[in-house]
Amino acid sequence: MTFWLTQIFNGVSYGAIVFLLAMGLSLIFGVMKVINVTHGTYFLVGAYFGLTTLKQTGNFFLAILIGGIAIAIMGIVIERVFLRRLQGNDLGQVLITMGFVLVLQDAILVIWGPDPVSMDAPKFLASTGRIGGFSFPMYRLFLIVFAAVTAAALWFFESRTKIGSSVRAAVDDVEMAGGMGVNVPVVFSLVFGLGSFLAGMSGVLAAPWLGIQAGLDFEILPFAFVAIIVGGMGSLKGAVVASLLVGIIDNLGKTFFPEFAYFTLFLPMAVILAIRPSGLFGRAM
Amino acid sequence: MRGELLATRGRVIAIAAVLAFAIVSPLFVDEFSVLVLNQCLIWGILALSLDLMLGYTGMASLGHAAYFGTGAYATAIMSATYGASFGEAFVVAIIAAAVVTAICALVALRASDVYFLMITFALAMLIWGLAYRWDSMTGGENGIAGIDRPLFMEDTITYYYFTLIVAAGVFLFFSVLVHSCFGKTMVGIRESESRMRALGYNVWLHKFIIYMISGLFSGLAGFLWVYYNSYVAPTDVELVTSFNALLMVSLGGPGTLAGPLLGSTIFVILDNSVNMFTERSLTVVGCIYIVVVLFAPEGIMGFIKQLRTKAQEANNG
Amino acid sequence: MIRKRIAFLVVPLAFALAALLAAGPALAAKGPIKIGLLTSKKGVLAKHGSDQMNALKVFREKFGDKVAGRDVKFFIEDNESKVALAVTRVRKLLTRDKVHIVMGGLFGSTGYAIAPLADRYKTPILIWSCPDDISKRKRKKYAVTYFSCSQPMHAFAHWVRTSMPNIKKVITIGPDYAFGYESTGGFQQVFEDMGGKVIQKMYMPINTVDYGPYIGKLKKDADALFITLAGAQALRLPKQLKEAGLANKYVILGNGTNTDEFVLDAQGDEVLGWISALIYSADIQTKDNQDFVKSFVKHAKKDPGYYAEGYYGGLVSIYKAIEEVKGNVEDKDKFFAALRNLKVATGMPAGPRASDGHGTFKMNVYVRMTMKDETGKKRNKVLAIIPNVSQFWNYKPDEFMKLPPYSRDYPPCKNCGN
Repeated sequence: MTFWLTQIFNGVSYGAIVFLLAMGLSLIFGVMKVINVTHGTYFLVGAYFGLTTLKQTGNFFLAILIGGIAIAIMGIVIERVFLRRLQGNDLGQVLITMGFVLVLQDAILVIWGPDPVSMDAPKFLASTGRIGGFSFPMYRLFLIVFAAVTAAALWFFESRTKIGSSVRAAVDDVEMAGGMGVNVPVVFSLVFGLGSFLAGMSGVLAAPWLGIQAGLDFEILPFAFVAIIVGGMGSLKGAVVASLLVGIIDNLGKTFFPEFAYFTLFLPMAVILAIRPSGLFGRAM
Repeated sequence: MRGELLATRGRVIAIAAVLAFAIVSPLFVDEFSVLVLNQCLIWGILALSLDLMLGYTGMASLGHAAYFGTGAYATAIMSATYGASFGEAFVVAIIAAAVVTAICALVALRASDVYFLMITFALAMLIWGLAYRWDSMTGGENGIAGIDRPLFMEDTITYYYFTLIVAAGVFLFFSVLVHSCFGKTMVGIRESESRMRALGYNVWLHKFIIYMISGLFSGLAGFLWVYYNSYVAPTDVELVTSFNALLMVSLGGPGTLAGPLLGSTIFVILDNSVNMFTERSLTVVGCIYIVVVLFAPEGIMGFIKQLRTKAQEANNG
Repeated sequence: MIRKRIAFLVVPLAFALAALLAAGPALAAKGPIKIGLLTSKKGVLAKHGSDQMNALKVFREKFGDKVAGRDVKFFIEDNESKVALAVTRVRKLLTRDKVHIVMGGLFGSTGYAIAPLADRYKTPILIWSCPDDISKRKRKKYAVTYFSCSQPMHAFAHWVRTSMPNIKKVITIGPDYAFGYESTGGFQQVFEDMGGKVIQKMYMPINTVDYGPYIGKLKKDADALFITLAGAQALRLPKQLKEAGLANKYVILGNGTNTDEFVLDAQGDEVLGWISALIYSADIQTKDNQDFVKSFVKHAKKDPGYYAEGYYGGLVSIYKAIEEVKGNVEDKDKFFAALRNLKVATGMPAGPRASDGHGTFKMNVYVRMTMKDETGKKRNKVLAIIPNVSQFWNYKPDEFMKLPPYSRDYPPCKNCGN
């Protein structure tokens, strides 16, 4: 029993990080139809910004905020200056995001150097909690709570605010939304900024747990892509469900079929692609 | 009429010049240059086969590393694990590439546009996952080393000429293909799928066949690559390889035959020489991506075409 | 306008093409001795590469670019942490730069990939990573290895059985590729021959992000974990072990790469008390090492680890071999024989080493414990020195080589049960 509880708990907590990363990717794809391969690198650069902030101020929560904001600004600039000019050119947009991956990876080497760094979570989160025979890392619990609160906030934003309904309209059909008086350029910037914010923030959140080093961006990115492919692009519900699935399946897969660690994750994705290309909760294409 | 004739003659001269250069130059340069030229040819074949989908038919595949990798891994496994000969490895590599391409095509062709990009991307991830984790077969992280060429093409220059013959054959086949009725249909599909459907064409079948041809020739490139590098690893199948192939096509000029070859040549040369000049090679390659997408969407061949039209206009005016 | 754009593309390309296709210089009478170095400046191994480059600086500062009366020229190639690219880059060193010797290779698998090139181009390669079989069953005519991955682990297992007899049951954890198999296999082989039991073996992909599933599976009745970590794993697994509350439950043994100085500063207190073995520790108290550490700290602002020492020590070995052939590196067979039969008594931070006649060297193995010194700085304190360790440990080479190479399935886990 404890074994299963531990495995599921671990899976859910990993799903929490995947969710924060995938949600941004999903929003950006859903609204702008951009496959943003820079997203993993945003995650990594966000972590570095968070690290620098933590060193300067000693405040972990401020670090999370600054990591998110810095990447949001970067994302908005990239969207306004580059991606917007390529609207409708799907391939061009993907290729240019790859260009930014390389440039940013190099920038990291120049600015923060090649040495791996770690980041400490506040003391009260670094302990091990215990309920009966079941012990769990507090930090993982914190990640789950954080992701849940973020999901709730996003849900509120999407369903209860005016700007949120514009975003929803844009996910459904950009042209129609434009015709209904939604200011599409503003929505694009907003969505890209929000998605980038989530990526940067999740990078900082993951840092005390995963450490920060070159290469992390492409280690984590596949999980986020699997989540949005399974969940369906642009769907909040899809991102939540699929991220949890990704976390849990990855955990159980590694536990029971360690030789096929990635395969256990990618195979369900392929099956879903074959049966329902739009994902579990995506709009049919 | 006369202009067209001239253009054809120009094309023939250009092809002859390139071929002559490809045949003669290895005799005058050092071994490393021959190795680099060989790389240009192999990536050129991959870029050509990608262009068949991307440039001619308008299907942007974000996962061609998968088919390239299938060919490569099948070759390596046959050669290193089972001691198969060059010919046997070739047959298995092509069959493996065909099977994997067929399965991927069946799944991917259900979607179009950006969803097609996404699905090909996801399928490539799956193949990468297999290469990376199917340890007993692929050697996982270790990759597969010790793949030797047959003795008669052991040395660098012979293998280069072998690759050159294959590449020339592929080029010839592709140019016949794109100028045939089938080729016209491909362009028709690119311009308007619905119109082709209305005209009674089986668009799906055409796309499937094109996908298959493209996958097979990518597998062929993978086969050549393994015997070139005598080593294969998951990094050969990763995302970046797919992206690089796309960059080569975009850089040279999609929808042309010379473009992918030009693009792959430039890319390979840069890839092998940038780090002689600067430590910041990542930034350089990154900027090439950005510049090509923003300023040269039709690639270098596009520029040349533009130039020619301008010149013609000047003549006429 | 268009013309300008074309010029913008064409001019740099023409330069690149010219640089590339320029035929290599005709064989000069006797130019400098050319040493090719392979490293990683980008990607997951960038930090190892930067340690290596700093070690190179220290080396050149001390020994200069001159040996046996001839000038030395270094050619550095970056394989961006990709094994496949290492093959291409080493080929460039051999065919364009026409170096007289190549040193390099991070990752055991890189060693296996580049070793065949040594014979193909009849040029010595000092394989810096530690692929076991290149000095055992897959020997090359022109390749030697700096050491063998399992070599320190044989000695370590012996030390554990002798000095910590209470440790009887061990779980092994390692990265899922050659280095992991060889490190784990070496430990298991000797540990079980001396009556210990390995009761669970786990191999995990090197780019694993979340170790939760593996940690959740650890058997409770083990006395110790034997851990081998590579690259980013060294940062992640210790953290995640600690947060799972298991840091004090097991004694933690392992390969010295777990707490190598390349990552030690970035690791937290979770690695304190870890006991490991390797062919080096910055804490070695010899003058050779203290001098090396001092110069290295000056350049790198941090302690050297085995990645740094190995690069430096490899270069010391190469210079020594060049001296032995009086600078005549053009006679490749003699040069390689000198390298292969080398004996270096002084000047090595990690202590003396001598050829074992099988393509690698005998050397000291250091058992270290990670702890904090008075100033609060983490160090790999040397607990024991096991001198003159052979890659075959105490086994007879011929008999040893009849056994299968260490792999995912060998040695088998007899005591794993289910």
